[in-house]
Amino acid sequence: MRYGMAIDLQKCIGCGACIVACKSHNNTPKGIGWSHLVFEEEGTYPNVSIDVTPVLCMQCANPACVNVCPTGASWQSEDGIVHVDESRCIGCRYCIAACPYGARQFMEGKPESYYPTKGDKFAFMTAQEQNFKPGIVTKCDFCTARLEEGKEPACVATCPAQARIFGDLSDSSSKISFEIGKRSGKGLKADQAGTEPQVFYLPR
Amino acid sequence: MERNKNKVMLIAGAVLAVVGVVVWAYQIIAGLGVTGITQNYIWGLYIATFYVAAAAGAGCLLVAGIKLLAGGAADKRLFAGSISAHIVAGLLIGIDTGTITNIFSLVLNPKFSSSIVQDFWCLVLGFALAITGYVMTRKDKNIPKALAVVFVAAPALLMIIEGSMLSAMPGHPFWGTGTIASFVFAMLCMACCAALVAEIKEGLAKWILIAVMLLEVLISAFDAFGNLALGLSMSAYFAGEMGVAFALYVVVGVVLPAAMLVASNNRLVTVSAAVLVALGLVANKLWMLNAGFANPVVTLPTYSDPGITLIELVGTIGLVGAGLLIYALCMKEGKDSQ
Repeated sequence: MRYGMAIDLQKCIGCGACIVACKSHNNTPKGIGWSHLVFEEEGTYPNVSIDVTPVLCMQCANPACVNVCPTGASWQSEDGIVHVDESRCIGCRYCIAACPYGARQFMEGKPESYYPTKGDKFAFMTAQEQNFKPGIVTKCDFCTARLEEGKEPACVATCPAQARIFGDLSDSSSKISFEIGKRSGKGLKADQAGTEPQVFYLPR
Repeated sequence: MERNKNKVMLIAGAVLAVVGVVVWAYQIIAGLGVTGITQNYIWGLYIATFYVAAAAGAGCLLVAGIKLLAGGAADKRLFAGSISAHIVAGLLIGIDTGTITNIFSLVLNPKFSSSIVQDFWCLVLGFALAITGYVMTRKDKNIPKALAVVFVAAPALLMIIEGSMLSAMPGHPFWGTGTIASFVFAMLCMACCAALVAEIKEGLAKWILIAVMLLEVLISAFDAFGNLALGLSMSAYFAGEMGVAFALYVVVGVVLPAAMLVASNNRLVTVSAAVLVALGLVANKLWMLNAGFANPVVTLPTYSDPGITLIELVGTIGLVGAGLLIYALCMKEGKDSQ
C-alpha cells in the first residue's frame, strides 16, 4: 500500500472548499493551515488567465523533513504517509526549512481565539489546545484517522469538482495510477524539490 | 586596571544575563510568536547570533591551536572565550526551541544521520576541548601537540557541518551555493578578531581579517546574483528588511571595521573593530537566512515578511551578556590561581 493523491488541474475551480474541509475536519488553530491554493497569473494582457494550484503535504517518497529531523519525531509509515510524533518534536523547525512545499507549520504558542472579544472558551478551542501543543510542528497526514475508518481525506471527499483522486499508487489497476499514467501526472516542481512527491498534478 | 576591567565585565554580564533570563521566561509563557518568527521565516536573530557565537567559539579554539602549534604558550583568554561563546551558542539554541529541556530530548533521541545532531555533538566536542585547554592552562600543564592539532581540526569540522546543514536543504535553494564557505569565513573572521583582541600577531591577523571579510562579501553577492536565475528579482535580496541587514553587514560589519583597523593601531579602536565585525556577521547571517526563506521552491499565499521584535533583540543581547559573565568568571578564577 502506498497512498497518494492526484489533483486534476483541469477540473479544479479554485473554490477553496478543500481548505475549509481541512480546517474544519482537523480543527487547525488560527494561523495554521495544511491545505493551500496558489494563484498565479499567466499570459499578457489581453490574453491572461489565473492558474490555481492546490498545495498540501506531498507525502514525499524521499521526504526531506524526515531525513533532517534530529530526533525521529518526523517519520514515515509503511503506507507512505509522513507523521509527526509530538512527544519527540523539539521545535527546531529544521523540517520546515527543509520542506520544499511549505507543508509544515509551527505552533508558536497556544492556539489563538477566533473570537478574542468573547470570554467563553468554545469546545473546539479546548480540543485545539489538546491537539496542538505550543512549540511543535504540525502537518497534513492525509486525514489518517479518516483513512482508518475507510473514508477518504476530507479535502478529497469535499471537492465539488471531483478534482482530487485518492488511492493506492502501488496498485497499477487503481484509478489514481491509471489517471497519472494516462495524463502524465507529475509532482509539483518535482525536479527542483528532489523529494519524489506522491501528490501528482494532472495537467490542464 | 585588569581587575577593574574584569569587575565591569562581571557586573555588566550579570545584569545582561538576568535580562536574558527574564526575556526567556516571558517567552516560555507567551510563546515563540513574540520573537517575530512567521510560518515561512522560521529562524531569525537567535539563530543568526547562534551561528556567530559558534563561529566565535570555533575561532578562539582555532587560534589557540595554531598558537600552540607555532610554539607559543597556551592562552587562557582564548580558551575562556571559546567556552563562553559555546555556552552562548547553546543558550541561543535553547531559547530558540523554547525550553532548554528540548536539548535533553536531542540527547536522548538522537538520529545521527541528521546534520543538526552532528552539529550539536561537534559543538559539544568544541566545548569539551575548550574546557580541557582551559583547565590544562590553569594547571600549567603542557598541552600536547596532538591536542593542538585537534584544536585546529574540530572547529573546521564544526563550520563545515553547520554550513552543510543549510546547504543540503531542497526547500530553499538559495542556501545551496556558498553557504559552507560563508560559515568557514565566519569562523576565520572571528579567529582573526580573537587574535586581535588577545594581541597575537596583530599585523597578520588584521590583514587576513580584511581579506576574509572581502571574500565573504563576494560570496554573499555571488549567492544573490547566482540565484537570480531562480526567478526572484534583485529587490528580494537587497530591499526591505533584508536590504537593511545586508547594508548593516557591509557598512557596519566590513567597511567601517576595515577602515578602523587600517587607520589606527590603538587598542580601543582594534577591540571596537572586532566587535563591529561580530555584529556585521550577525547581520550577514540574518540576511542569509532571510534570503533563503524568501526563495522557497513553492511560495504559499500565507507568506509574510520577516521582522525582529524588541523581545528577540533584548533576549539575544541578554544571552550574549551571559557569555560576557562566563568569560569574566573564567578570567577571575584564572587570576586567583596565578
